[in-house]
Amino acid sequence: MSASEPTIVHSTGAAAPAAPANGATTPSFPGRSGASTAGGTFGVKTGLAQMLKGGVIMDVMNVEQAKIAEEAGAVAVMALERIPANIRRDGGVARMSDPAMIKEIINAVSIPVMAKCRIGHTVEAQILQAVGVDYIDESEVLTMADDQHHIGKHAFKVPFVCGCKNLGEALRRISEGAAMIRTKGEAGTGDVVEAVKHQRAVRNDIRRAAAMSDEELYVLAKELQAPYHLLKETARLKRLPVVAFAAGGVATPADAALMMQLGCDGVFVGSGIFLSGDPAKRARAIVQAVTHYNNPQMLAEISENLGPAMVGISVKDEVKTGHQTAYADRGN
Amino acid sequence: MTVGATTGVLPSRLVIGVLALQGAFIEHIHYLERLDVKGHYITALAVRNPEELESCHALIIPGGESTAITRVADRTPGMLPALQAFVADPSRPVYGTCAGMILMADADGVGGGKRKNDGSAWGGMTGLRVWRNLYGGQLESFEFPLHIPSLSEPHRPFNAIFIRAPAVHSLKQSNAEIERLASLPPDCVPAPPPADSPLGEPDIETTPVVMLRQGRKLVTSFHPELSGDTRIHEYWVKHCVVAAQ
Repeated sequence: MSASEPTIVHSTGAAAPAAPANGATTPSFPGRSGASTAGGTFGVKTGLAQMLKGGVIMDVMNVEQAKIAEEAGAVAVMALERIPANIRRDGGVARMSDPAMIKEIINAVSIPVMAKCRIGHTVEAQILQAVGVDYIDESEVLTMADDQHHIGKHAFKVPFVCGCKNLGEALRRISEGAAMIRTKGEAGTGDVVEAVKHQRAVRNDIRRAAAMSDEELYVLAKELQAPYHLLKETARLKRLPVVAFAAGGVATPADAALMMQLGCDGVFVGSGIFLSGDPAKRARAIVQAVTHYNNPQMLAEISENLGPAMVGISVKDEVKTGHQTAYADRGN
Repeated sequence: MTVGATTGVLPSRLVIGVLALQGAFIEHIHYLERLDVKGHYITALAVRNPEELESCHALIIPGGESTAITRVADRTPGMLPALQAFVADPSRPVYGTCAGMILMADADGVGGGKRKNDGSAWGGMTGLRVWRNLYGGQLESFEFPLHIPSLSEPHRPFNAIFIRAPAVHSLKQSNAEIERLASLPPDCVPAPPPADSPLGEPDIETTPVVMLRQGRKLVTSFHPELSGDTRIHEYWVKHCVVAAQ
């Protein structure tokens, strides 16, 4: 195995060996007894995220938007009743979406469908798994259900993506079983500054770790409050051991390409598409920008005549001054 | 590209492209860089435009979301015709994994007959028809130790990772024979799809087949690039890329 491939071994739910699994981890679904297959292993959970790399995951609120996203070339859609900017506008408690609405979207598109549950809300996650979503986002955009604990994600067959502000937070989520990581950014603002800050923080910590001796890594693990074995693996790979996307404030093709140049594997776009003047066109442009992120000539062509972007909320003027909720502060 | 009328003294340079429009392309590049093929040195190249494709001797179409890869190819100037010409040429070695297998089919349909084939298939493996996502969604994704007799160390099972995998719908006989290189045991194979399939009557006998070869073309419905085992890449380069230039 080369130095470039992750070999994460978890204390629980370890990456499955090649041997056939026993009955306890065997999936059971109609039409296939699957007696000798291993489903829901960490390899299978992280595997789907690998397939989403270089792609855009779009927030959609109904079947029509899901079809626009699929046609534009989204690699997955996030089904939710209100996009983050609207949650921000409405205030109150934001919860998991209606399973009926999620099911409609699953039936309408052939790409994977994700859905959000509240941080720490194990039962919302169980419901989403029962509905048959392909990925669960344990998201700070929704109101927290548990202000101390995140969901124990190894117990689920469905994979999870979680947000982070820095390396310690990312590794704590992976330790809990997250199979994919994204920056938190500041959702629903259209201001990319926080996503940039979080991505740079993760990269900075990884570069530090990569240059350290074992003794120093033990100290860094303490400082970051991260499990040592995951920190060690991250230092060896010189990147997070799971797929890591950008999220929170991406509104233009240039924003998306910026996050890719900063080393993200792909991009979530929440409110940026369906709150803009021409969603279908902007969606296509952001998809192209994530593929051709290193080609400025192409990016210039892609960025032409997209119509108005979503109206932004400045993080510095509105969120940091307390006029708006800082979603990124939810969970740690 | 001329692979060189060398006297066998100097190794020839082989440029193998990996389509990098979307998906898990970097893993294929890492694998290719690890291969040691006698008499050749391999350069792996991420391919995003027709100029880069032009410089390649062979191509890997990686796993990813087939719809997304198709849409990006459609909208990258000159890319779609260049790709179609490349994969249709029998002298060009091409390997497709998962989404790549869907794109190399003659026709594809969504499992369960949800939607008609939207013309996204690029061809390459003549006679192959594919069900997208026949194995189901992420909850039905799985790993299986697959027996593949044609690989080196044939007795060591290959840990095949199936992610929302496609399946063979049917294989039409053509001039170029399609070899069936690996199959899943019957208990891992999904139930026959409903009769209202957009692709017509499926051939149940071919549903378990997960690895196929036709001349210089190879497809797998699983992801060898995720299991840390380079034997399938080694097989493809040895038998489809460098053999009998």
